[in-house]
Parts: sequence; C-alpha cells; structure tokens
Amino acid sequence: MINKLGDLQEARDRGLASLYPDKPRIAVGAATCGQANGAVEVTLALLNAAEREKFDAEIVPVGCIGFCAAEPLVDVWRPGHPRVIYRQITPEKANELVAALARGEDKAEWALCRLEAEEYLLDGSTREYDVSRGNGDLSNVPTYAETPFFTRQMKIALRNCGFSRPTELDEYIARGGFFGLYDVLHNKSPEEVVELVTKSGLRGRGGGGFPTGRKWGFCRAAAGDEKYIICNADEGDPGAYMDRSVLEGDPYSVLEGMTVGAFAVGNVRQGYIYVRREYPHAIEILTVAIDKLREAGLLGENILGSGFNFDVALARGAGAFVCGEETALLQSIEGSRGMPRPRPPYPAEKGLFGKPTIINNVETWANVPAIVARGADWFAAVGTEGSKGTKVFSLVGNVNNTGLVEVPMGASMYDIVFGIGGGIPRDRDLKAIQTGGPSGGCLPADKLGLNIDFDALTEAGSMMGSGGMIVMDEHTCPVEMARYFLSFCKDESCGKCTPCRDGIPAALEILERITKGEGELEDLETLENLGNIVRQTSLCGLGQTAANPLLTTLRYFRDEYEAHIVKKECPGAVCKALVSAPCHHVCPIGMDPPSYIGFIAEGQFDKAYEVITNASPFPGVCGRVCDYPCEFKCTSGDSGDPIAVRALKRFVSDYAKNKNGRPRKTAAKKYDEKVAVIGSGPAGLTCAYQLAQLGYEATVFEALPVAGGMLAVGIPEYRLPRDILEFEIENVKRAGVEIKTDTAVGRDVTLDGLRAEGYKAFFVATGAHTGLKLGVEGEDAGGVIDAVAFLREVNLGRGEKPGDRVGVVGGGNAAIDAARTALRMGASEVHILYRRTRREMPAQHDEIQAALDEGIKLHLLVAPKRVVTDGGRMTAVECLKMALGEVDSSGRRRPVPIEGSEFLVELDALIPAISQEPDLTCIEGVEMDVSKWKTIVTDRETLQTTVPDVFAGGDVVTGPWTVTGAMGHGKRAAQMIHKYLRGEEVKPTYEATSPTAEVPIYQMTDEEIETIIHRPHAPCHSAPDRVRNFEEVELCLTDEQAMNEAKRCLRCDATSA
Amino acid sequence: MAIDMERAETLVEDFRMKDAGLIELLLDIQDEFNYLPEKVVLMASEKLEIPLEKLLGAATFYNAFTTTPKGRNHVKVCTGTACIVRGSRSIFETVIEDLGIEPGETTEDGAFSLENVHCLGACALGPIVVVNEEYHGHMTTKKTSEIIKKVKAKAREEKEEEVEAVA
Repeated sequence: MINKLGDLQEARDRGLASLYPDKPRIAVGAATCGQANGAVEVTLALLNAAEREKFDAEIVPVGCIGFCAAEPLVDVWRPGHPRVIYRQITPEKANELVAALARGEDKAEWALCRLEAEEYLLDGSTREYDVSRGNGDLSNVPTYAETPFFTRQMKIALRNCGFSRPTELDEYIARGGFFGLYDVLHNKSPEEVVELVTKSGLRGRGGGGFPTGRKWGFCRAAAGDEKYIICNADEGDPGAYMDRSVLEGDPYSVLEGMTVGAFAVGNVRQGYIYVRREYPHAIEILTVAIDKLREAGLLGENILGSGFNFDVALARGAGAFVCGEETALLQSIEGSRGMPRPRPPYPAEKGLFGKPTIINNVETWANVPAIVARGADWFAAVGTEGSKGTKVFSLVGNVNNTGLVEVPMGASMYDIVFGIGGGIPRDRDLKAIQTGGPSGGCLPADKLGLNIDFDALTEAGSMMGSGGMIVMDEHTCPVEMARYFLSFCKDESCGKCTPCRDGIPAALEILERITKGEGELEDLETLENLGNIVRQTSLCGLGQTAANPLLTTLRYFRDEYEAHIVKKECPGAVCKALVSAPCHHVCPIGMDPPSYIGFIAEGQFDKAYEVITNASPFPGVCGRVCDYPCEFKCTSGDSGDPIAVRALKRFVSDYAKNKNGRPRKTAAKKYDEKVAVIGSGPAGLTCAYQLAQLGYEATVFEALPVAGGMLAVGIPEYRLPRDILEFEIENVKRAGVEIKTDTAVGRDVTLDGLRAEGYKAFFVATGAHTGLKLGVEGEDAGGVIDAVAFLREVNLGRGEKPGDRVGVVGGGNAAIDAARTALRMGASEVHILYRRTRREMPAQHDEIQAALDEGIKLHLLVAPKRVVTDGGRMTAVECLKMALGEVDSSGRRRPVPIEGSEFLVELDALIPAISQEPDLTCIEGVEMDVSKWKTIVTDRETLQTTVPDVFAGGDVVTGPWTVTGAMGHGKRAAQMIHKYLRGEEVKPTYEATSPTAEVPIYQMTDEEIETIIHRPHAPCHSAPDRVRNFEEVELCLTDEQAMNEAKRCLRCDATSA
Repeated sequence: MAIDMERAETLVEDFRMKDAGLIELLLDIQDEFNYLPEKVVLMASEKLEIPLEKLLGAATFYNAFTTTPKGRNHVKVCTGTACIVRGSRSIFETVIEDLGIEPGETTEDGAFSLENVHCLGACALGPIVVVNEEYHGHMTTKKTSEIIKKVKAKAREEKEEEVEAVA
C-alpha cells in the first residue's frame, strides 16, 4: 500500500533499482506495432540466447519509443556503459547481440543511438549514466539527441513510452509519477487545480481543441452530487495511433491524470476508460494497471491517505467510429446504440446517466500529470500563442521514418516530414499531407512551410484532429482519397440526421462517377454545395467534418478533378477504371508496356515489336533516351524494383533492327491536302508519320543538314547511336513522309510561299535550340560556349575540345550531356556546378551516376557569380556558395546565396546549360501570339495557334521538355490537323486507357518466383573504356535477361478493375 | 457446433453482478461463441429482463457483432488510410481472390472468414494483415498470398485429422 509520502519514496527507490539493476537490462519495444514486426520472436530469442550464453540479464518488454519504422527496437542498459538502442533486431541478430554482450562487446553497426544521460520530465532532473567502463565501439554511434528522428522532438505525453515497463508501478513512480497527485491531494484545493490546468493553456488533444481547464471549470460548477470522468480511448481515426501507444506504453500517466481530474471536478467517484476493442493489447495492459493501482491504494478509497475516493473501470467499444463523438460514446457506455444527440446540453452539464461528465482523450489525460508536476508556466512556455505544449503526430504513409513523433506546437510540416521523417521513400515527390483523419483535409506540398497548431491547420482548411499525419506521394489520387474518406464516413454514419445520412452517399455517388471518368464539370459545383450543406447542418462532429477531405481536395487539387472529368486522366495513376496499367496511362505517346512486355515474357518478340510500333515509329530512340515516366509509376516499384520498361523496349527494337524488321503498318494516300511540318525533331517526325498513316502527304522542312532535330544534334552519340536514329527515320520516310533538309522556313521558304504551293496546314516544331545566358559579368569572353551550340557542333562533326579544365553550369540532361561530351572531346577535368542539391537535379539519375563514374566532379549548392577573364579569354569562374532557405511554393527549399562565400574555380572553358529558348525565325512576319519566354502560344488541348491553319508542338511551345512529350504533341497535332482539314470541330476526344492487345499472362513457376526478384542491370562499357570515345555506353539485355524481367511484370492491365 | 448454454448462462450471471453496460455482455458472448447465437441472445433478454429490441438494436449497430459464425481462421485486412496509401487495396483484392469470399463472409466449409478493418493502430508498419490475431506488418500481395497458403494448408491438415479421428 502506498499511503504516505514515504511510501512513494520507497516505491521510487524500488523503481530505480528495477530500471537500473546491477546487471544488464534488455528492453524490447513490444507494443502492438513492435509485435507486428516480430518483437515477441525477438524476446524469445533473447531469452534463449541469454540462457545458452549463461548471460545474467533482465529481459523485459516495454512500450514503443515511437520509431516504429526501426522496430523491433532493443534497448540495452549495462552498468558502467552508455545505454544503446538497437534497431531492426531479428531473432538471428538477437542471438548475436547477446553473444556479443556476453563477451562485453557491443554491436555498434546495429545501433540506432546511444544515451549517456536521461531526462526525467516530471521532476525536471537529468540522470547521468555512469559510463566509466567506456564507450567501446560506440563512439561513432549518434547520441539520442543527435539522431534525426529524435532531435526535434520533445516528449511530454510520450515521456515514459519505451523507457519503463508499462505495468510496473514502481518504475512509473521512479520516473516521477504520482508525486504530483500527492501534492494535489494534500496541498491544493480543487479550484487551484482547475486554475492550474486553465493557466497551462492545455487544449483537448482528441480533435476539437477545447480548452481543458475551462471544460473542467464548467463541470465543477454544474449542479450535482454525482459526476463522472471519462477517458475517450476510442481512437478511430484511421492513421492515428498515439493513444494506443500511450495506453500500451504508459497507462499510469492516463490514470494519474484522470485522478487529478476527478479531484478537481469534485463529487466524482467513478471514471471510465472507453477503449476500442481493436486494441486488445491496450485493454490487457490497462486491466493489469488498474488492478495494481487498486492494490497499491492509488485507486479506490482514501487515495494516498487523503480521504479522496475514486475508481476507474473499462468500457470496451464495439467497433463504431461515431462513438468517438462524446455524446455517442456516452450512449455506448450506457449500453445503447451509439447515436449522438444535439449539444447543448454539453456533457459537462448533462453527461453519463444524465450526470455532469468530463470527457477528455488519452493524450490530454497523459499531459495532466506533467502540468501538475512542473507547473502551468513551464507547460505554457512550450508551443505557440494559441496552442500550448506539444502534440503527438503519427507520421505514416509514404515517409521513410514512420512512427510517433511529439513536437512542440508550431513545428513546421517540412521539419516533421523531411527532418524527422527523413523524406519520401524512393525519392518520389510529395503530393499531399493528410491531417485529422476522415474529419481533416489534404494539404498540398506548397503548404509544407506551415507551422502547425490548432488554428493554423483549421485556417488551411484541415484540422489537427487526433494527430494523424499521413504523407502521400505523387502516386496518390486526391479524388480517390476524397472518395475513400466519404465511403468510410458513409459506413460509419449512425443515420440519425438527414444531411449526414443522405448527403454523404449523394456526394459519394458523384465522386464514384468521377473516378470512373463519367463525371461532368458541373459536378464540382454540386459537390461543393453538398459538402457545405453536410458541414453546416449535420448533428454531430462526424457529419460536420465528413466533407473536409472533399472540400480541401476540391480547393487544392481541382485540376486533378478536372483531369478526371475532361481528359479521362488520373494524374496519380490510381483510378483503375481510367488507368488500366499506370505505365500505359502516363506515357505521353500512349505506349502500352504491359502488352509488349507480356509478349516478351512468352518469347514472342515480333509481336512485341508490333505492339510498340503501333504506338510509335521510334522504339530504338525511346528505348534509349526516354525519361521513362512509366517506370516511376510502375506498381512493382511500390515494394521492390520497378520493371525495366525502357531497357525492354530497347531490347525489342534491337531485336527487330538486327533482323531488319520494319513496322508493318503503312497507309495509302487518301486525301489531297498537303501538310507542311517545320522541324524534323521528335515532334515533327511523329506528326508527319501519323499524318501519313491518316492518309495525308506530309513534307518535313529541316533547316540543318541532318534530320532528327535534338535527337541528331542535341543528344550525344554515346546515348543514341546515329545508325539507330537513321534506321528509324528511314521507317518514317517509308511510311510516305518526305524530308527536305537544309531548307529553313523563314529563310529559304516562307509560310505564305508554302501556302501558295498548296500546303493546307502547318505544324511548327522547331524546338528550343538557343541557350540562355547566365546573366553574369564576363560571359562573352573566349572559352564560354553555350551547351546546345557545343553539342550541335560536336554532333555535326565540327566540334573541338572546349578546353582543358571545363565547367558546366546546370543540373539538367543538357548539362550532363555537355559534361560527358567535353570529357570525350579531350578535356582533362570536367566540373558541374549546380545551385541546388542532387535530389533536385532535373537530369535523369542514372545519367548523373554515369557522369560521376566517368570522373566528372559535381559541385552542389554553388552558383557562378562572375567569369574572370584575362586578355579576352576566361581563366576562372568566381562562384558563390548557396544554402537552402525557406520552403517555396513547389515544396522545395529555395537556394539562397551565402554572402561573402565567394571562391574561385580555375577553368579555361565554361559551358552554361541552364535552359534553352526557341528561335522563331520561321514565323517571322507572321501575326501569331508568342509568350514572353518566346514560345508559341497554342490552345493547350488542340495545339492550334492563333493562326487557324498553323499548329505547333514540342519544345517550341513548352520550352525545353522531354523527347516523349514532344512525340506526344506530334501525335496529337496530327489528329487535330486531320479534324481541321476534314472540316470537323477541332477538339480532342479523350478516352480511358485500355490495353491495345490481348496478351496472355505469364504464370511464373515457383522456382522463378524464388529466383527472379530484381531488375537486371543492362551491361555497360566500363568508365575507363568509354570516356575517350563516342561508342554507345549501355548495351542490350540478353534474351534471357529480357524474358526474365518481363516475367516479373504484375500485369496491372489484366487485374480486376 | 452445439452451443454451450451453461457457459452462456454463466456469462449472463457474471454480467448481472457487474456494474457494466450492455455492450460488455454482448462482447463477452461474441468472444465466447465467435458470434451472437440467437438462443443465447433470447436467453439473456429473458434473464436480464431487457427488451430483445434493445439487445438486437445494439447488436446490429456495432461492427464487432455478427449473427452468423465467423470462420475458424479469421483474416483481417486493414484498409485504414495509412495502409491504403501504401497499397493495401491490392492486398485486399488478393485476399478476396485467394479465399474466394467477400468481406463479412465465411467460406462454405467454415474454415475462413474475412473482414476489412479501418485502422488497427499499427499504421507505421502498414499495410497490416491480421491472421488469427497475429499481426503481420509491411505486407505485399506476395507475402500475403504466402501466409494464406500456409494457413490453408494447416486448415486442410486439421480437417484431415478430424476426418481420421471420426473414422
């Protein structure tokens, strides 16, 4: 029994002896999350190993320290040594770990962090460990405070989780527990306690954020000699689990908090914890904890000898989300259907069994002992003006370091997601952050700079809710997310009030139509109206907030809703009815990888070639230089390696070329109208080819002596051999296209002249071949040559070595091409200067790696300030160092120059490769709208310019873009020109993506499932072999490699919609 | 399977002694019998003098209760937000295909039942699949199929043993 202060002190001493025994103590994080990761197996392995090694240690289960992604976590305390937390311990590692410990060694390579001191939050003390026996191999292991996951955290609610045994009362007391309650019961009046909590600024952590002290005050003032205290542990928000973690890791903090609350409110003899049945482990722990408190006299009669009586019982929820709403919760405890009722009266006046009742959630109660122990001012010093203290977030979804994080109110989302969370897996882009569960909203990446507290989130259209923070990467569809949440709320609506019961299904039906591509633009207005009605007129919080996910996605992602409706396009490639296979859906030229990959798996390469060439005459080009958006969206990439789509396409094209296979599809001339295509790059050639397929006579005019545009004069030969390009251009010609090289429109012929010759429509696709200037002093000096000009000269066989020490400015593909070409032209050193970090470089990542392999130096966070010249020639570049500043509207941190950080790089040549703009000579004198970036203005969908018979596409419209993007424009322009010439309305028709061929699904054998796991590495010439010549670097996959890789394809196109 | 009415009556008596809401009784019955047998609900209504409509009202409101038996092996797939974001949709489809039943259903032989749950509170390890109260984290379609295959094999063995025992 613990009655007196002396009893508490004795319990504390016992607890300290148990926390820091005179032998090693190994604690395993064994909350539900740990168990799901194998904590039980690890504990058994530790016990067995200890017995085998005769290693005398205490092996105990504890709660979760929060870093769930690193579980199972094993925390080793040894007298005389730093405490070490080990991450991702398997049973095998557990064996080795015990063996090492038994030898007196550590396993530094598995350590997450080490602790040499530990803070006891409740008494504000720091306990320094005795580390007299040394660090051993641990000196390189970061300390707890240095570990990125922990460094920005401040743990109040989670103070004990993972540090003490959840049901060991003495350990809780050792860490400062129940001294605050003793003080309250013996030295404070109830009014003083209410005042203390009010002054602390604590607001309810369950969702609404109502000031806790005020709520207590109301209840205290309410008439009645029987009142109740309830802990709401019906944590139903999908994605939030901090309450579970507190209950499983530190139940006494909640029970102490409730006892303080009962004393403050007065006339309370009974409290309830309403806990969801989906948390069986929490129920188990709570049951034990309550029993132990009764045994110790800390619950029941005459608590701590003060004469105060209070007891707590568990009430289990039975799986109804709406019971998290307080009036529904009361109904449920009373034994009825959990249906909310109107407020007022609020539960503080009329609650459980009609009596005044306080309902606070788990995290709120867990904060109370800390406020009591440390005082209101201490608590109020943490956080923002309107939101005091800390908030626990469950950081989950597409983020590297998933787990529970507790940060001071006002922390920025960027710091949480990218600092603590370590960013997005597979370096994907962030699309949205969902906070507040089904009641909250989806915020876009440009809100990353938001300093979150109750008010900031509400203002942004979302809410704090219980603290779920679900990170969603670019593979998420906001429309589908809204549909998901509404479908959840539809299921969970209790059906009592009409707006919620009928309004949610009505909105859901519309959303379902939109995700199937059957929506209308008017639907968006209807959805907004419906959402607002449900929000304003529903009876309880469930209905009032149910529309939030819908309304926020409409606010921030309206363009994606419109894409679904107008273009039958799902930018996240999620909505099955529109997408078929994600790789197919996102390809700008409509290439259908699952079909040709299916044929490759069966060894039917000719059929694969046919599928490919039905979509494009350039398989060899795309198979080499495509930026493969398909692979970024590949479903296999979600849990392993994405399929090597580009390499497979290249394999098929090489196969066909080797046997001189040509696309079969050719069409006879059907129409008399002639079409002129200006520019023979990927856009122009694709357009001309498609026009020929449609039955038109198409002539391509090319200013340069060779056809191919950037494919011929921009991309270096080591990436795209000329014979491949020529072979495929030959196929375009065979389809009936005439190409006139050395004929510049605007110089040799004019648009009007061509009209007079009988051309009835034009497609301008002259690209963007003029490099932009850096805008720094001295850049006209000798030795400075723009990247596009440099690459063009080299490609035309007229280039020379730019210099010995060459610098390239920029981070895109042109920069990498220029750098690698400079090396091949004989430069002895090549340096790339880029102003952001490697993650932000627009160039393809494998190209960057190839450049590094070839010995090219990458200088990040650096920008040129001035070119230093001597006698008209450059001798060096003066650079500035950059730092990453505030988060900008793209969700990336903006680079800002560091003042006074100038430094010189000695160079004799500099190649700016920052961007290019079009040369518009071909339309000189033509009255046509042109943007301020010197690009031609077209209708975005039809590509028609302001001159009706002239269409334009590719880089001349978009600025520097991708090869497939340009080809996609060429394809679309051909269709639009066809409509224009046939006198039809010039408007694209959009269709949902669907397979272009019927291809059987290859069934892998059991052996293949075991062995074919990773994508193949296409063989490459080694760096030393390749840096002095222009031979193609990457080689073709073998037949076996290609077939095996094709077998890995999950065939999303064929799985059920 | 025969209903142990004696056991059911003990549950009702225990409940009468406790100061607890009706939901607690229904949960006890559900946990004991794997569903709410009609006989037991009728008996409880009579003994406790609680109108049947009140019992059934609560029983049909909450997801925890079923009026038909769950399978001997119970599979739960989490379709909470964090799991959905990490691909539990396709896992769910796989399980439906592997078991040949929709959520809320039990296979004809009574071996399996399937439930989709909204959040089990292990979000950081999503996608989560729970088979017979054993939690599996970081699931993929492949790993899920393997687990189902194993449980199926075990169920078959048990069945065979049962048949042998009867023979």
